[in-house]
Amino acid sequence: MLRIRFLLVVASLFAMPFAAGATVTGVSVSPDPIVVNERGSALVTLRWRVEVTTSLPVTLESASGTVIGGPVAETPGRRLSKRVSAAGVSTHRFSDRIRISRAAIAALASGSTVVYQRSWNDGSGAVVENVALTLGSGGELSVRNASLRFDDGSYYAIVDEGAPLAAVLRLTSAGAGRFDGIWQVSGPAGTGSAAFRPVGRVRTTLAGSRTSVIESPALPTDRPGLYRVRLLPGPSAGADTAGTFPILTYVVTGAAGPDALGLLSPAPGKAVTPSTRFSWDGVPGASLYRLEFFRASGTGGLAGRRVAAVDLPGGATSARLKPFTFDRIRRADAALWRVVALDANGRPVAASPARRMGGGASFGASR
Amino acid sequence: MTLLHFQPENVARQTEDFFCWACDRASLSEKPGSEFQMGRTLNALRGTAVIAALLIGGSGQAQQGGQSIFVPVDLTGLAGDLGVEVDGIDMTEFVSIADGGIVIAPGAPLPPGTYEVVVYLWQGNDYEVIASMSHDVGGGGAGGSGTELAVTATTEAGVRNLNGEDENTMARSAGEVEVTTVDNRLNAGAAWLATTEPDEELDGRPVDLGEYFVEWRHFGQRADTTFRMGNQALEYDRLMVADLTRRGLSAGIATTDGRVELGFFGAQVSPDLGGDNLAGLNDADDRAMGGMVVFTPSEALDFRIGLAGVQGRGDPGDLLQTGEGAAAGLFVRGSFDDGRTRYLLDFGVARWDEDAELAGAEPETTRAALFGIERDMLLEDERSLTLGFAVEHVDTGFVSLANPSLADARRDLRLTTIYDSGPLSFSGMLEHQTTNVNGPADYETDHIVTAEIDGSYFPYHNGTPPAWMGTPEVIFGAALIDQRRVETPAMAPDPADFLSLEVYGGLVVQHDLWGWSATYTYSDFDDQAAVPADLVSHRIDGTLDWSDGEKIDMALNAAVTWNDEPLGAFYDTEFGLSLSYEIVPGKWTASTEVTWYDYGAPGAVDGASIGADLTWSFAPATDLIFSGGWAEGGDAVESTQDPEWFVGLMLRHQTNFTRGGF
Repeated sequence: MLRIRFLLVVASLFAMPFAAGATVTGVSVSPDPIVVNERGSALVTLRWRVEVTTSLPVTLESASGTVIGGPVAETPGRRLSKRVSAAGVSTHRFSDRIRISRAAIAALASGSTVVYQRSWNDGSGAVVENVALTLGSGGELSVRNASLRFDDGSYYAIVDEGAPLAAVLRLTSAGAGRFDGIWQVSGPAGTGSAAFRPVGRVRTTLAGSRTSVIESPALPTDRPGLYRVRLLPGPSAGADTAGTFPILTYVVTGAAGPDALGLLSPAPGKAVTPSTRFSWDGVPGASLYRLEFFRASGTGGLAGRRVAAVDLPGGATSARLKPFTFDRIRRADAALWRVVALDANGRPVAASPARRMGGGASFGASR
Repeated sequence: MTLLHFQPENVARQTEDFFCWACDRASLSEKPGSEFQMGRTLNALRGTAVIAALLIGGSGQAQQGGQSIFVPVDLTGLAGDLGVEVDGIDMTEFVSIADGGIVIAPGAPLPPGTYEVVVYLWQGNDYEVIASMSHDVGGGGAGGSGTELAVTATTEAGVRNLNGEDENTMARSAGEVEVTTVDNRLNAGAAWLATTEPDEELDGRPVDLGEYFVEWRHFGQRADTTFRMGNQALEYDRLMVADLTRRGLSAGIATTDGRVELGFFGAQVSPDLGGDNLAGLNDADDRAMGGMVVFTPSEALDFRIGLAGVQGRGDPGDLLQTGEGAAAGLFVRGSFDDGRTRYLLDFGVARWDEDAELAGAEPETTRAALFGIERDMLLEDERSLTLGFAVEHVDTGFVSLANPSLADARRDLRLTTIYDSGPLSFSGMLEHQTTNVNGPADYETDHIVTAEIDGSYFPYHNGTPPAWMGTPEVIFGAALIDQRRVETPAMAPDPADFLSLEVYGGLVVQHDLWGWSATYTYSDFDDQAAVPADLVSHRIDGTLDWSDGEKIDMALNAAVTWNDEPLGAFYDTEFGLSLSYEIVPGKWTASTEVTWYDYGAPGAVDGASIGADLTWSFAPATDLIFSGGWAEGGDAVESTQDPEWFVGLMLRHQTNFTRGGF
């Protein structure tokens, strides 16, 4: 019996995540303080440095990170943990990417003291570290407005199987920082996975007050069904950041629409000048190509209107605009163009996706 | 291809090398079958010989279409190039000369209706209207008749078993309906989604409306009018009303000579779907109203001046509180020197109370001004160079409810360039931004310099690459950002200076049945703050698409990124593959999709999944789909198990219905 009790005591000592003798001896974090803009929500990456002194293997853990101050109590920070194997003094680093909500910033702007707090558990007690939030004109990357739509300007799309489709995020931001986003798609619902899977990556630096246009890769339309698309802010994003940007729904019907027609030039977002040459891939069976220009919400089935077009015979794969057509699209502030291939009966046999035009060399230039 | 070129000469001249906007010289040289018929002289006009060089493509495509429109026009003494529009569509390529005028043979049949035909004479960047007329197709009078209804929908129902334990039955229907009159006076459309799955609902209801619109147009003797209800697409200027795609009502009136335009709108401030608040005006705390007027003083001068304004209550961005205010402004658009120099000027004043008259923030009056000018420095047949300059000043706190994406608190000076030649094209920008413009005195001010270039190069622009190579395109670009603190008031945060560099280069190859691309991107973030957080990364992306043209389609993408961050160095790896195979064309189709991603960043969530479908098209527009899948890590989200799996059976029916002439 005595041997069994001895074994049980020894086993319980190894089962404890934090054995006696483990101590968190220092916690520091950068940036400190966290500088945020007064309007919008902030995307912040914090770098924690935790020093531990231990004589046995332990798990260093912080269950969550909390923003508290005034009427605000939010938990944007996810669980951080690391197994510490080496005895003695060791330093461990953690990346903590969080979104500080507009509500928290509003509380800060109204005069409340707002902090981001983490508790580091060393088994013998919690070591709490607070990071103050402060207001500034720059600071961390701040999202003031995020408008996610499909490339035709719609918020809900019905497209034919195989039709081209992309999502576009217009992001108005301030402050500075690395923007690391993952385009994700889930579906087709019912026959496919419900998880959001990556289809593209955005990694860029944003600085200053500006509006950026971020376009997704071609979204899957090869199988019918209901899909959802979103832009997730980074692979290290916590659960709360999933709500930062809207989620769009689109449905792919099983109808075989026109084949995809590839566009060669100009590239998306390029400004159109009188000498711009529009070029595309030829399509077998095309009797006529129609180069079309649309206003802001163009080729979507439920919005927008064509403002000009150019008809070309079936052998043409490029064209330049005559001055009266260029003036027409310029005055109408046309923002999208596409090419449709028609057969001899005027039925579309292939169509390109709508491609954005730049607003002119200087006008409204934005990253 | 048809070209019309008039020269007031007495001598017939064969001009092979003429300047023509619509000519594709490259395609001419590549088409050995093209025939050229030159130098036809018209002697129909007294005292003047007008020379017409008529070029007809060997395919005779100018004669296709089946409908011809004769336009009587006096070509006497004209010098320049001829252009023809039918309802705003440039159909010059389908025009030939006849006695007393020109004949248009559209390349595609024109639906019944009334069409406006305009004949231009143009030279360089200058043009004038020399003839216009209305033309009826289909026997209609002042307006055509007939309505077309189109319905596209997919309806499905099925059952899904998760991990052999949870079974879920589901049903959904999604589609859109459009109604169009052949004279284009009335257009309407609506999209819906009905589903038994709460996560898929658009606005919290199992049966709901997505986007919709109803548009009515009236073509009058002196003015054309348009009314639209539903999802709008409004853009009056760049400050007051821009990029507004919300639900609402709008009306536009334009004189037929285009010299005066009026616009009015009322719209919801926040984007919304669903069957509530169809007109977008029900909620007084989420509504904006405004209008604009634009005047062109002279038809001979490209100069327009306008006023725009908006007022209302709402949350224009991620602010989580309702504000109230109004904004009004003046805008000017124009060009000179045959359109080679173009300019714009916008000026606006806004008064905004961010908490809508609650006891708190005081209303603020702010201003914004934009000026831009660009010129085509070089405008040759195959080369162009455009330089631009812009100044943008937007006070801190400038808000227009109808321009939610406008960035404030900045003063930008910007130089831009666009170069376009046959094989090489690129665009560049150099910008200097000052932050905290007219902002709080105790906030810091930074200067941010941004330099960018993006371009592409087609090595075989004027030639034919080897068949095995496909059509290659080299892409390249770079972006440099430098942020420097210039003013730090007493309580302001410390400087956060940095220098960021991004460089990319790649090759994109396209072939009829396959294509691939490879891109390398280098990023270097040099943080010069007190506690720096430098970042360096190298990324390689690759894609491959392949089809046998009959049964097999494959798409593959992969990316590897090496990151060097303060927390250490690590790799991110991403992979995706989709494959489909028509076992029996039109009857049995198998498809699979594989996703795998491994992120090395601390705390990142990895995942993998594989799914497969077997589709049996047992009846027209009706399929039975057998599906199955497996997922782990970040992709295992439907249950508490990791990994998880599912099998399912679904019945799907497609509806495509079009009926016209009722």
